[in-house]
Amino acid sequence: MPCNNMDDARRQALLSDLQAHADGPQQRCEIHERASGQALFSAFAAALLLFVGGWLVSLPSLIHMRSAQWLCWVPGALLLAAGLLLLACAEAFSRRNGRCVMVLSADSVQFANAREPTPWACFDGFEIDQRPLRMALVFSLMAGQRGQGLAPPCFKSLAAPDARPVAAGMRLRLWLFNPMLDGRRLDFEELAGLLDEYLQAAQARRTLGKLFPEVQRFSAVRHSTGQ
Amino acid sequence: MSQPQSSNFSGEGTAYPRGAQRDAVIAELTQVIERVPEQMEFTNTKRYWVLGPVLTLGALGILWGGFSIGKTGLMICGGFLTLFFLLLTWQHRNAGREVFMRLTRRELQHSALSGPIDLTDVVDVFVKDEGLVTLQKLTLSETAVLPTHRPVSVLFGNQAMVLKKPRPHVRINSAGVASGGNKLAIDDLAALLTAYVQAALAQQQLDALQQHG
Repeated sequence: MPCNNMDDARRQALLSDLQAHADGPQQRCEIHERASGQALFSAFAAALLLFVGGWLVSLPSLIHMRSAQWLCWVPGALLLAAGLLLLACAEAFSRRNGRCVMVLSADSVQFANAREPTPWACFDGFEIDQRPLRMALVFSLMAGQRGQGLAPPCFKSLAAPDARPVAAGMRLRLWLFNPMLDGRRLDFEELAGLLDEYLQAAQARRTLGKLFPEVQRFSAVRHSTGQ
Repeated sequence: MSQPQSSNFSGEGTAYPRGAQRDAVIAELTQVIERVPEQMEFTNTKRYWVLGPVLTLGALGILWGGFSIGKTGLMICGGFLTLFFLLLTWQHRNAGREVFMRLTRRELQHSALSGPIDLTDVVDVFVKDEGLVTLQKLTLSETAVLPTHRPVSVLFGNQAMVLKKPRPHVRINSAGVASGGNKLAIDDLAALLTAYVQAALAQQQLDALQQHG
């Protein structure tokens, strides 16, 4: 019957399409964070603020000011506080520098603060948002899946590129300054392309396993024998 | 953002799945329903409670400047701004503690609405950060029963408006949105609302399925 023929043709087309996508990247990728520039800049700005703040605080005694000393002390103290805050940020960023953000493998992604790798099949998509200072990365989890990430406290999230569950555990959110792969900075399009390849391949394998289980078993044998 | 899903099993003469297929459908629907917690409570953020005193100090500075220079205009301006920011701070004294919105797997409750909104009536979710307040706009279907809203006399307070034109929709304004003490980003909030709408639709289909099984 023509209807059956068409169904067969569509089935074949879907099968070959899925198989083409299922052979995704197999290598292990480690994405590191580079925050040395941000740490240096924060340290420099902190030094400047501390210097100006210290100078303002000591000004009344330097010029033997009699009245209205608070006009120097209040802004001086504010600048000193801001400088100390920036110094803490600089320390956090220097700890953040060089940390591994994600380890991508064919089947799973391991976040920095996760006990075990999260299979790609848990995710149904991701978003990358390039902000002026940082890049936000949000993975959305499929229904029925839970993230393995741990929620870090506020300051710790500056010091380590940790993923944290948001929106009642439906999404995993992390942010980073400069994603580095093998010593090279990835811009957001490259990172999106890389993650997309892994995710698409895993999803194609999953669909293949659901719709064509016999074909998937065959390809698993082929992979294990190295052909 | 949410796809308006047609309720597949609620029409007349629909073929209901049987046997193993029925179990698979129930399992999938349950997954979609259990994706979200049974109930979530939302408060606003402490944005104006923190910002209010700072702005009040600035306005007091203007007032003091007006007195020291001796300009009446600056004095009036400073006095007005001080009163305004003091009122703002006082009105937001409970910011981040009062629950103004509750989401369950079936409906949305808001403190300024006369009744809950059935989430299965929602056809579109739109969330926007408008700078001073966060806007959540839920477009409802034409057949939805609309509650009424009462005015909220708080500056940048937790307001809700039910409007019939151009399409029936609910606008919910608040000074940021937080849940369990954590601020929610607008795309997280949109994802949450969408997930709750999907959970409500799944619940509706599950009920229809169990009624006919």
